[in-house]
Amino acid sequence: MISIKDLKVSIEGKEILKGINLEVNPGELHAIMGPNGSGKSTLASVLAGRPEYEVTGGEILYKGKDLLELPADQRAKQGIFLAFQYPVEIPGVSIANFMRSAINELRKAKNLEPLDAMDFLSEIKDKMKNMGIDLEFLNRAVNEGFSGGEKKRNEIFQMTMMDPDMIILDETDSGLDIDALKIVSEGVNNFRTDEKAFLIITHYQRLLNYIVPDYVHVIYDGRIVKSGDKSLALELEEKGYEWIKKLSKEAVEN
Amino acid sequence: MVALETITDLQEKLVTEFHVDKNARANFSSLREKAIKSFSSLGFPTLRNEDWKYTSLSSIINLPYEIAGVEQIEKFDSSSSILKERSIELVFINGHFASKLSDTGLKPDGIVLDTFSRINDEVFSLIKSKYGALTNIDDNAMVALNTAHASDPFLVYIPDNTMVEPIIHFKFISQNKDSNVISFPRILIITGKNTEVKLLESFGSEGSGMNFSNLVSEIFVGENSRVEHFKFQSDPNESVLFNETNVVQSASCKYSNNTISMQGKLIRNNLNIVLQEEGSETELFGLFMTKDRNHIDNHTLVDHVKPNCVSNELYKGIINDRSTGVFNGKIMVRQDAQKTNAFQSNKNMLLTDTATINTKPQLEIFADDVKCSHGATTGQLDMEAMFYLQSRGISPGNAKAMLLEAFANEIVDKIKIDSLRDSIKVMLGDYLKV
Ligand SMILES: Nc1ncnc2c1ncn2[C@@H]1O[C@H](COP(=O)(O)OP(=O)(O)O)[C@@H](O)[C@H]1O
Ligand SMILES: [Mg+2]
Repeated sequence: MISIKDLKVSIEGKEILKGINLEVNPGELHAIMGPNGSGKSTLASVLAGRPEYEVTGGEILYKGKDLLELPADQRAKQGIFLAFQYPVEIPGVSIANFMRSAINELRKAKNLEPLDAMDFLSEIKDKMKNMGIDLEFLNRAVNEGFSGGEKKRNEIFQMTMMDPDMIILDETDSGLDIDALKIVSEGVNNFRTDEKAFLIITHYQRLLNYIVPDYVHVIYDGRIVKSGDKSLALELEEKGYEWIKKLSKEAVEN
Repeated sequence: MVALETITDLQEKLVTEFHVDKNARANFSSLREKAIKSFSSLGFPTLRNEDWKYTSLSSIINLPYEIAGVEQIEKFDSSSSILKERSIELVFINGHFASKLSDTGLKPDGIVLDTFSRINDEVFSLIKSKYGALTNIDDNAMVALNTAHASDPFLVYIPDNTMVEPIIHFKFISQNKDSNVISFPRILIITGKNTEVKLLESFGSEGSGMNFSNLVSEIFVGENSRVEHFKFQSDPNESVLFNETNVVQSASCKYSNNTISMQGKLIRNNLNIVLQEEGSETELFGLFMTKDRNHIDNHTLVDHVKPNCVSNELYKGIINDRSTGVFNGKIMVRQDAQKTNAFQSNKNMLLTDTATINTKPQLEIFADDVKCSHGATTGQLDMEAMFYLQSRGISPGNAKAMLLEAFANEIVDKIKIDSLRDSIKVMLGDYLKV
């Protein structure tokens, strides 16, 4: 699905990602862990096409094509979805208007007729219900005044509406209480198929009890310093950051 | 008349071609003569005039103009009405009321809608002292010019205890064949006690030359009355508009104004409100959008004279390309006007590096027991929000339009007439997509 080779990324002249290599195949779920500031969100943002970041080296192939060529909206149209760590508030734009525009642009890209108001409504209502989101949210401005948990559930709800192939979740678990965590995890697990690929960024091992990864990677200071299966997450939890820093030093020296 | 005239040429033409029929009734000949003398000595405003510091008329008044005559052009394209419901439609062609093109079928009994030359003596005696009472022809050259050249002003008179259900829609149409035309519509609106009325002004133009309208209105809001006033200034034909509106409010009344300016080469609005008696309320909302090299200038003044009045003002600007917006809002709270609540805010969005906004909120307070605030902010498109929308597959153009519509809708949503609000939203959507 996606193949990242020696990716180097800078912002404002400062190198954040210093050579990332990662391959995610259809049907796989990869978890990325690492301390704050190690570059996890940067990686997610670059995949989604945030323009401020400068790619200084390496490449990303998505479905066999150069992803870095595409602007953000084209990436979304081709199936990339990012659930944001900090979803932005957009005053004056209702969820209904926002989602309808998004869905109809996706449909247009696939040469499908736009959904009429009735069909759109029945689809959106189902999916909101699944995520435990109140219907009155339709008329509320995107993320405005939402609690942390509401914002995260709203991200996963959007994921189910847009039906992407490559899903990146950036710390969707942080700030969630246990009930919300279960709803979100269930949303993700129901969404898993052999065709879809997942990159789940998390700070805590906790989420991985609910969403079980095929692979776990640990990122530190812009590099993946260790990869393994789900047991790596538990090991990391046990041994903490100092262990990571040691690994990082070894990786750089090699 | 082929060669370009200089500024003084147009000024001179307007002075020499001024004439007033002294024998006709209701023609305010001495007022008009005084006005032309004043214009003659003031001349057109220049950048040296503090009130016109950011708005230059020089490129406009350097053209040769014809002064709009009374000859009527019998048709104009009115197919795209912005109201669904039937209204009282008053059509003005080049400033002159066109009764044949108007529709006054829904006019309630007792209200007067007519030009000064056609109202009866009784009505004339009621309005005689009001005409010109709210305008300043000594210092304001544009208003002096209008007063001199407006040969037959239009009266809306609403007697006590009248609720006017249909909207009164003024359609100001400018027409020229190939030459540039300058016209002078003039309106006087008087509402009695306990009245309710909704006023709408819209603008259109035809012809390949420049249409330059100088529109002046005076509005007297009666005690315990409600006047809702909408101005929709959108002329795709790039005309020029000077529009001064002077309002005086009696006790316990409410005047609200919503001015939406979205197309036009140059628009200058002066909106002056005097809260002359106690217990009244004013709401002023404005949305101005400019592009290309166009220019929109909004000057507002809210003058709190007496205690216990409330004024609330919000103007929003979206400035694109190399265009310029101006907001100059002044709140005056006089010594007598205790317990005043006065709020003003101006928010602007600059869409390019070459767009300019000049904003100047002013507060002058001479009373001590008041609540007042004012502020202005200018920003750009929120790039975080742009990225968020695009990450959901929304193209950059649509994402931008969505954010700008959201910004603009704070003003448009104040319009309580559904059909008007809906058609403005459609036009706004089209305007913001390109
Ligand atoms: N827009 C930005 N401008 C400057 N520095 C940034 C920006 N975004 C991220 N960084 C820096 O890049 C580093 C990695 O940040 P981030 O990718 O958010 O880490 P993580 O998600 O792993 O916590 C941090 O040192 C952060 O300060
Ligand atoms: Mg992060």
